[in-house]
Amino acid sequence: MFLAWHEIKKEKLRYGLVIGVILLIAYLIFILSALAQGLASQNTAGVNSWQSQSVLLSKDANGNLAQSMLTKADLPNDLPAKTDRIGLAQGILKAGDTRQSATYVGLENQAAIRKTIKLTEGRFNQNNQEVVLGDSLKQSGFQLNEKVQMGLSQDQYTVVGFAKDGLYNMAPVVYGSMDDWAAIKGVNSDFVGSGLISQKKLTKKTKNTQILTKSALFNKMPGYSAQNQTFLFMIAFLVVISIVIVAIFLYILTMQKFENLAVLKAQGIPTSYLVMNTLAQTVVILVFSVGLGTALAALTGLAIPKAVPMTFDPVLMTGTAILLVLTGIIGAIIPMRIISKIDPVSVIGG
Amino acid sequence: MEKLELKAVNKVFGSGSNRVQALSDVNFEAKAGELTLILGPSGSGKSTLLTILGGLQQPSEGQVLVNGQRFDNQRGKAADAFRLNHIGFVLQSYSLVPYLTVADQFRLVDKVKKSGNLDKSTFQGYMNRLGIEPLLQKFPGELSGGQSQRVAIARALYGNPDFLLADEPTAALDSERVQEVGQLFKDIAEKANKAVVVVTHDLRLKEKADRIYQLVDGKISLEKGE
Repeated sequence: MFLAWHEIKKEKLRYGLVIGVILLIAYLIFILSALAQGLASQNTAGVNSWQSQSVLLSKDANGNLAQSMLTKADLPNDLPAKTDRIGLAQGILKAGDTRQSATYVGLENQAAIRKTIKLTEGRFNQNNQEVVLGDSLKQSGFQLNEKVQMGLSQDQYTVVGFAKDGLYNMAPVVYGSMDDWAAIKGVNSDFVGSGLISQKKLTKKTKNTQILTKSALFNKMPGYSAQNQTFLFMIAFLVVISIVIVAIFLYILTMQKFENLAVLKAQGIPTSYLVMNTLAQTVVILVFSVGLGTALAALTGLAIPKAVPMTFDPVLMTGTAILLVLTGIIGAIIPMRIISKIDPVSVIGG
Repeated sequence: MEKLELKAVNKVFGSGSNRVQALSDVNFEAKAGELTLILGPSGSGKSTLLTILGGLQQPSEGQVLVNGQRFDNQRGKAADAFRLNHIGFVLQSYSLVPYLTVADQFRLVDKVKKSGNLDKSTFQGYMNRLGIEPLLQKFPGELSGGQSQRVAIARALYGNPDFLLADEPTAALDSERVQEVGQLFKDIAEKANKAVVVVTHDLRLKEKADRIYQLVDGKISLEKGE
């Protein structure tokens, strides 16, 4: 550490530049992670807030709950407790000139998942023609006690409350009754809902249905997997770039110090001491870069408007920071190997 | 008495038509209390001899003995530890760590060699003689060639080695400093009872030497001493 620290102190500009480059990469990784999580959350926030474990839906829906339709015959017998019928319908929510794509979620009044929904304003819907809106719709201009229309239905619905985390597959959620769901979806009474959603593990299914776990349901959401994989690829690529930058930088520095390191070895300074100094130097660079990148990302999180779908989760950020430092250390392997192979005779001649 | 010896040492590089005999049947000794010079023109094998004496490479044939014990068969950590604890190297260039101040060059020795380094008063004496005290807070890049070489000598001495091996230590020094450094090496040998070996083609050091070897085309001969 003695050599590592003194070199960094002496060569402030050189190390400042590399710290700056890795800081920017780390910052970009944090921003992308926050964006990935924020966008994923826009797909999953609603289902997650319902504390659901598994979903039953029609086979033909290809895992897309919004496209699923169940008849009475599709419902298995002896369902576990905390299993609710749910009716999804995607459409346009209208109030005067205010329009917004939304997902209608029809629930029965006694549905267990209603107990998991947290209201931020107003009350739960008790009757038909009453709806509770996801709170992001408040920012879109929808108001409490306002009359709204949804989807194919010509009926007017009264907004009686706003709910937290009301998002499903990127669209804000409109909670209402199962009767109103049929009207909005434009289906007759043969259909009893889009699916069953349970806080327990569902095991029984009927001929035309399938059971999905919560994560399988998310992965079947249109665009969800592709979006996550794109972000994951970008993040992984940036992590690899940061490793390569660390490796190139340390390689150049090591080659510049080659003669000096050879003399130190000639003087009996143990190779392990020199190797550990390079490792320490790498850790210092990474901790500074990633630490500053984390701080910058946290500040960005405070400053960024709420409309931007970013989630700065401290646990995820800490995990990402640790991952960056650990993977960055891989970049020190080549320089450490060069140091271990330096032959002191090379600078003395002979 | 500390003694460093080479017995019937040969060193060969390459093979076939590329074969180079760097050292031929070299017998050599350096004793504590003596300043030994190895004189010879460039390419005569002086540096090869020095690296073999310092355990940095092994002879192709023959033996390196330290106080009568084989040293040439030591490798890796054992050889590193021996060099760290018993040998001080003064090299022509790159001897100092560029990003450490002169004072920190000595602290580095303390970091890797926890005990046996020079005590404060002895080291202060060397610093005064070498005139490096005003340089303590400077970096190597701020020193002249002569100042760097004097610091390198002080650094090699700081570890209190039994054997001081110097490769052209006066190359960057003016005549006055050559005499001072030559006298310092002699005093180190005599008063501190070290074996000091200097590889050089600087004839100005001859008058200070107790023992002088001539090395020409890998063959050594004793010019002065027993």
